[in-house]
Amino acid sequence: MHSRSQRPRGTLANVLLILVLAFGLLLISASSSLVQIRLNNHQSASEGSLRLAEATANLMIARLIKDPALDENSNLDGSQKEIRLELSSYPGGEGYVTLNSDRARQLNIPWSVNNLIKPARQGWNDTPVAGETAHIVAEGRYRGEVSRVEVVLYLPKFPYVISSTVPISGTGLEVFGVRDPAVMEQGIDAVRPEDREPGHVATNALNNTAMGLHGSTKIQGDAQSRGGIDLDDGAVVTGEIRPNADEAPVPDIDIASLDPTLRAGAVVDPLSNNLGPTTLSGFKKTVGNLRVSGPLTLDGGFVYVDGSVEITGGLSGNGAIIATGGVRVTGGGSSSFTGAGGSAIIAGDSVHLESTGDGVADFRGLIYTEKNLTSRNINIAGSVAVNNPNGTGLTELTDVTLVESPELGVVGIPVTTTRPGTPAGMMPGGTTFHANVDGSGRYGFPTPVTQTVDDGSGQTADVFLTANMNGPNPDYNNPPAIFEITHPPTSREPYFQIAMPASRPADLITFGSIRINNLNREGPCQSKEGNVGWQSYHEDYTDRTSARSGLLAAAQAWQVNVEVDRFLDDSENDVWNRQMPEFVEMYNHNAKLLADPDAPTEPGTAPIVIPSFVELDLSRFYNLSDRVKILSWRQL
Amino acid sequence: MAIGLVGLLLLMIAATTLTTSRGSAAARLNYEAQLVAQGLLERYQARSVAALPLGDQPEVRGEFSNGTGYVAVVTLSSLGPGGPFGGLSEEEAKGARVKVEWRDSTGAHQELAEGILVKIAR
Repeated sequence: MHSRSQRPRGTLANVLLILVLAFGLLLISASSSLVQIRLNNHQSASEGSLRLAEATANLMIARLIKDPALDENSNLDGSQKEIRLELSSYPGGEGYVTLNSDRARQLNIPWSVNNLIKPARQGWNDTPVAGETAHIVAEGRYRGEVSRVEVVLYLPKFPYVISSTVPISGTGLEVFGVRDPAVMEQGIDAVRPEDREPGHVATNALNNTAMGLHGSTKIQGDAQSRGGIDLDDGAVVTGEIRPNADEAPVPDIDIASLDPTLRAGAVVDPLSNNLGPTTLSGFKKTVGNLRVSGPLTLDGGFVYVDGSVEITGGLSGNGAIIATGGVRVTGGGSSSFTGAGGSAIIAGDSVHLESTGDGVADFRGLIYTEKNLTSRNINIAGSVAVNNPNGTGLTELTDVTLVESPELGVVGIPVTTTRPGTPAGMMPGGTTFHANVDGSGRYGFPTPVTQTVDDGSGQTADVFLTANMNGPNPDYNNPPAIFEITHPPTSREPYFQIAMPASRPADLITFGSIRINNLNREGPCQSKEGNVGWQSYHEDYTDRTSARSGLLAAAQAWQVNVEVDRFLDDSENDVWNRQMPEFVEMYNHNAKLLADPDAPTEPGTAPIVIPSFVELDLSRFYNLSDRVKILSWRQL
Repeated sequence: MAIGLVGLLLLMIAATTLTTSRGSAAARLNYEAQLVAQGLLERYQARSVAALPLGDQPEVRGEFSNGTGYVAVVTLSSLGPGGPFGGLSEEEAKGARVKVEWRDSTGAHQELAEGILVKIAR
């Protein structure tokens, strides 16, 4: 039993305890509310700074697309090298971005690098920024919070594996991309999953079913439509599905301009309108429809048809079928459409491709039509454009695999033409630089020794060690790499023009070669010109280091002291001061003459086979701004 | 008296719990409203910038996870020709402001998000 004096003390203790607890609870409650408010403020400031960073990055993207030449010297806002963006939802906050590293350091912000039309350079934080890419780092600051967004833009050669102005209907369609066409060596269907990259499809049709993806269709990339996208349950798009999107760029080719008779220097053979199984090479043209009953193989064939084309046995090889009308190719066999070097089909009307034999056929190259595209049981690697100007029609792909391949989207066709003879007025090649052509002993080369001529005649001849600096043989289709190309071949002017390099190259022996003759002092020699004998064996060196070693070895064999370095110095000086300027003049003059079909031919000269190269590249019909895409976007 | 104090303690616990849970519920709704706003910004970015009309877009109605209804409105504006916008046209870029509004027992609330929409292939 408690005493009377203990009860008040106990009550007081209880009261105090409860008051302490109550105070504690109040404290917890107050601090909890405070933490809540701070968290809310922090979250709000974080969100604000991030939105500012994102908006500023977007603004920089838009500026670069509008002007891909913007660089570190560009003023981005009046006379300022940076963009400062304010948004009314985030009062007091600012977004920053600049292409100028000095200005970035002043503002204590990251800098961005635009290499869209420049070679690789390092960016902020030692980030390697490849050529044809841009590295944008934007910063947002709001209520003490700082957020950064990093965006990498790039310029794919083709933005889409297929771009169409008419609706696309895919059933059993598969779309992906590959970086290296070599992964398709065993066939398009055999490409391993790890070698597959994104490939995108786009249509500019405006109706609700502008893109219909049916059956087991799988797009390993983005599906973009200006209208709607109708995706069946079994169809999969692993990238973004973008209905109501921006208009996609679609190439627009002036087909008539590809007529080979418009190509300067091209010898164009007429073609019959009805052919059996055949292989075509060179420039061909026919007026009226062309029908090939059987397989058509293109072996560097550039076939222009002023009408439509029907091929019933498949199309293979490397070349181009260009028709002002439609092109219909059917055929059997799984290899009947395979062109190792790539083929191009360019048609003013509809294109129909169908493998009617066993298995699925592969087509590699580019397809362009100005009406409809229908394809069945065909795998297409390269680039496809459906540019139907009135927008009515259909791109119908059934059991088709489309593979985006930048390399195969450009079809290069080596086409040879033959001139009847050498054009009159060709300039001869220049003279070479000799060390000892007359045996006079320049540079310490030895005077002649007498050797037996090894031809059974018992004659003797004067033989001396000699060397000379030779220029290259002019290849009018492949200018020597040491020169600058001032004019690449075009369809109207199909010849190279070259110029001296801007600065003197380090090793001018690479212009041609140093040849050393008569290496054996003891003989015999194999031929005699006048009284001078020549051994059949010689050595050629195409760089200074190896030429020096060869000359020293030859001098040792002849037991003489040759001034090797002085000879090589003089050879290089002669190349730079005389041989190369002479070569440029001769090359440019002769290249033009060879490309001119009207140039008169030197009587009695043999026909000349002139190889030329036709390149069909859909990507050149895209504006640079149409090709800019976002490669990555992340918050730092 | 002790009973009274215990009662007071329980009352305070209840009040504290209520305040904290209300605070966290409000924070939760703010967070969800931000997500709604961000989602709308992204949705509009995916569409054709050139084809989007200026002004208020059709309002979007929905519910947060606790059933509270909200109304979101996206307002598109011209960026103007000069300054940091470097002559960008309305076909190339537009300003976008999202306002998400809701009402609960504590009153009316709103959350804002703002960005710039540009023409870019992603």
